[in-house]
Amino acid sequence: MTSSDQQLVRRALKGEERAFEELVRRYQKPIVNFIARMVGNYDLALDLSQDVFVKAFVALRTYNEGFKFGSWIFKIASNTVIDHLRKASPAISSLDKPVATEDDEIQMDLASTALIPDEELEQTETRSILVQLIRQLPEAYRHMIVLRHINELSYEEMAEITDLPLGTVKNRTFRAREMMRHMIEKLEGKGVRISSRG
Amino acid sequence: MLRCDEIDLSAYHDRALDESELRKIDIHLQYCSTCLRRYGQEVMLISSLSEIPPIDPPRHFIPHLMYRVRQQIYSQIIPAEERKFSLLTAGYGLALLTLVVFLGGLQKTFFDATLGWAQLPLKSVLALLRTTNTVTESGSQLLSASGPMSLLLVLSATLVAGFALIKLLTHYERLMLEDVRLRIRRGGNDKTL
Repeated sequence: MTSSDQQLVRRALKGEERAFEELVRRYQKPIVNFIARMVGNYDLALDLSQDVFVKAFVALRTYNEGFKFGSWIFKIASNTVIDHLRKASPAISSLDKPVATEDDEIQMDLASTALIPDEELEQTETRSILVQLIRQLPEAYRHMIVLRHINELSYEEMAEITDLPLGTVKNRTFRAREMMRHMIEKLEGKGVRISSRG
Repeated sequence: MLRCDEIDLSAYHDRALDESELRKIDIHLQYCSTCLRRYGQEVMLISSLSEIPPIDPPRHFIPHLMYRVRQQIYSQIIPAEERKFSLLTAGYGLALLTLVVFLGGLQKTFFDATLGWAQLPLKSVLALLRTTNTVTESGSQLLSASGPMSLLLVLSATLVAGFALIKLLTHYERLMLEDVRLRIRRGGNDKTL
C-alpha cells in the first residue's frame, strides 16, 4: 500500500531515510520543472531544486500536517527561486536566453529544425516560443503562469504557496496571460505562426 | 454595452466572473470579431501551455541529494554530540577533582592505616596539589576529623568517577561509530555520482 505524504514525513522524522527519499521521488519532477521554468537554466534549476529538498529536510519538524505537503514544498521552492532571482538580478545568463530590445520587441533564436517533419516542427517551435515568452514575463507574473499552467495547480493552492490573496493570484495570472497574448500578437505581426495541437 | 477594453478575456475563460458579466461578454463576442479573435488566442495559449513537455530530472538527482542530506545530518549530529561530550567532560572532571581533594584530606588517616599500597601514587598527586595550594592543612584536618563521613564521601566520589569513565568511553564510542557509519554511506554514494 502506498504511504501518504504525511506518513512519509512522520517516518522521515523518526530517522527513516528511505521515507524522505520517497518524498523526493514524488516531488522532484514538479519542483525541477517549476524552478527550471522560473530561472530558464536547467543546471541551475537542478542545483536550486537540491537546495529546496535539503531545506525541506532541515525544516521537516516545522511541517504542519494540516497543510498539503505539496504546497509546503512548493512554498520552499517558491521562496528559494525568488531569493535567487533577486540576488542574481538583473538577469540569469543562459545560452538561449531571448533578448528584449529597447522598443520591447522580442528576438527569438530557435533551435535548428532542419530534420523535423513540418507539423512536429510547428509544435516544437510553438513550445519553444512559449517557453521563451514565459521567461520574458516579469518575475511575479511568470511565477503565476508557471504554477498555474506548468505545474497545473489550483488558484487556492497558488494562494497558499505564495501567501497572496486569492483575488491577487487570479488577477496576476490573468494579467500574465494577457501579456503573453500581446507578445504573441507582436510575433504574429512579424510572421511567426503560433498554434496548438488542440 | 461593454467596450472591448473593459473585457477581461482570461477571467472570462476561467469563468471567474459573475453570471451577469459572463452573459454580457457572451453577447459581446457574438458581434465583436476583434475580441473573438483575442479569445481564440487565449484558448490557444492555454492549450499550448499545457503541451509544454515536462523536464525530467537526471537519474543521479536523488543519490546526489541524499548524499547532501546525510552531510546535513552529520553537521547537525556531530556538533550536538560534541557539546554533550564537552559538558560531560567538564562535569566528570569536576567529580574526579573532588575525589582527589577528598583523598588528599584523608590520606593521613584512612589511607595510612588501610591502603598502604596506594600511598605512592596518591602522595605524588597530593604533593603536586599541595605545591599548587589546592589542598590546605586546615582542609586536611577537617576531613580527618569527620572519620566515617569521609569514608562515605570517598566511596561516593569513587563511584561517580567510575561512572564518569564509563560514560566518557560510551560517548566516545558513539561518536566514532557515527563517523564510521557516515563514511561508509558516503563512500557508497560517491560511486554513483
